[in-house]
Amino acid sequence: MRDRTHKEQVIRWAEYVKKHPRSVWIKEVKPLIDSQIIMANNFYERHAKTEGGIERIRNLREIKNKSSSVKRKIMKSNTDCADDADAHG
Amino acid sequence: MSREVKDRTILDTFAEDFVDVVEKHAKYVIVSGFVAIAHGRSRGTEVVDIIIERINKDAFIKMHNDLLLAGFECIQSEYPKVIYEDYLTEKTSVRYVRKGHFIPEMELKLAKDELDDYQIRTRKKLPLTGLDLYFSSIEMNIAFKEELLRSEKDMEDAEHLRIIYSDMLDENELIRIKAEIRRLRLS
Repeated sequence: MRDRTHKEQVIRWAEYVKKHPRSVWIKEVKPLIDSQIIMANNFYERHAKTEGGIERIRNLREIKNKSSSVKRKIMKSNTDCADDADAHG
Repeated sequence: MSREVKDRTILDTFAEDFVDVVEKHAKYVIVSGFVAIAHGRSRGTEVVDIIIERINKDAFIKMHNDLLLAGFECIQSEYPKVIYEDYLTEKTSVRYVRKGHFIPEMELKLAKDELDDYQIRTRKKLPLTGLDLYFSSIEMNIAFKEELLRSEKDMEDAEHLRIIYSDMLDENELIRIKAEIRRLRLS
């Protein structure tokens, strides 16, 4: 559990977004969102060039899919309903 | 809504490019975390969640083939029949990425019950996002996050949306949706 200053920051930021048009807040959010994706894809591209890299990436992908599937099974056992861990559907 | 590339995140263009194909084949709705992120919530994600109406196998195969032509690939299988029969009709989502990329990914599933049908029926374009996409209603997103998902991240997403839409939320609709979630997903 994060401490209360984290929640205060979530609220402070939401209030900032509410008070400003998208053209203002997107400049601050875009680097955060884009850099996460660019850095991850750069890593995978570099890693794919190493010995056994493609195989390890394939394993990572399988782990990710399994982890998602496990989350769903937990949700199912808790709620008797599959498939709600990540999305509404 | 005009599309200006300079203010689009990678997630925005990914989602818009994907639904450009999907909407030719099925009604869709974008749900969950990306709804909050499209409203300025400052957190990362690698997944955009999309629910499409229940379409038959032939229609899905056409959509899948168009997605391939548009530069996407499905992680689970290259065979649309397998994707449809082994995953989608089993109420399991599948993930599409841009060919050769690892993230972001589009998590796609078929509508599975009255709540999903309702989400698609009441989908909206949300001007505050600046995006030309159909989203599930804000009340629906908040209700799912507060009533069903409930992780710290989900509760913060809900809080963010509550603040952004503080003067526009339909609290009666929220109560009604939460009751439906309890009836259909939690009982």
